Amino acid sequence: MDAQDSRAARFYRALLRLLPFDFRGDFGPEMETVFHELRKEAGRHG
Amino acid sequence: MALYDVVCDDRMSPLQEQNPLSAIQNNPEQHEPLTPAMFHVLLALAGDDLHGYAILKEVGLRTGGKVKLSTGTLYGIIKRLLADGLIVERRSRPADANDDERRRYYRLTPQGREVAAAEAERMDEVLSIARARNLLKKPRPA
Repeated sequence: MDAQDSRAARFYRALLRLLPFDFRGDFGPEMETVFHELRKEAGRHG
Repeated sequence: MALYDVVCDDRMSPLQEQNPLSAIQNNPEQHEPLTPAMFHVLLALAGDDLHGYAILKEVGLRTGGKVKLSTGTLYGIIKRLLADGLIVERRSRPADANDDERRRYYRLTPQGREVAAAEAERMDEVLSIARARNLLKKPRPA
């Protein structure tokens, strides 16, 4: 599960690199935290 | 909650005063119609200051899961609302916030509240027409 999490996180981070530089700088880190929250929630609900 | 804990305040900067859009922004009824997703974000923030994930949860909860915003959509909206001065980022975190420090909390500005209220009025007028044409199945709540 951890490996899957890490792979998903890397994939999401790679996707974030497609965003415009300014937008990524402003919101990228926060978008990552939301992604992690959504992953955790999905894990809890199976 | 104190006003000093927001990044921006409601005073107009000289740059904003020169911007012709600011005249429109000062009159909420002249603000261009909000998209449904933007309106939902403003509604969520009308209740409390929230971070991004909490906004997603609040919108999902309040619409019974009918509206699900993606992360990309949410932050596109947040960027736009920040640029329009309808929301601001809180400078301080809530006292009981015991969470990831990368989280940022957003607050509705007085202008944002006025624009949301104007949008609600617009929708109410449309609903009145729909009601007059018997297009609504549910009776109006008291």
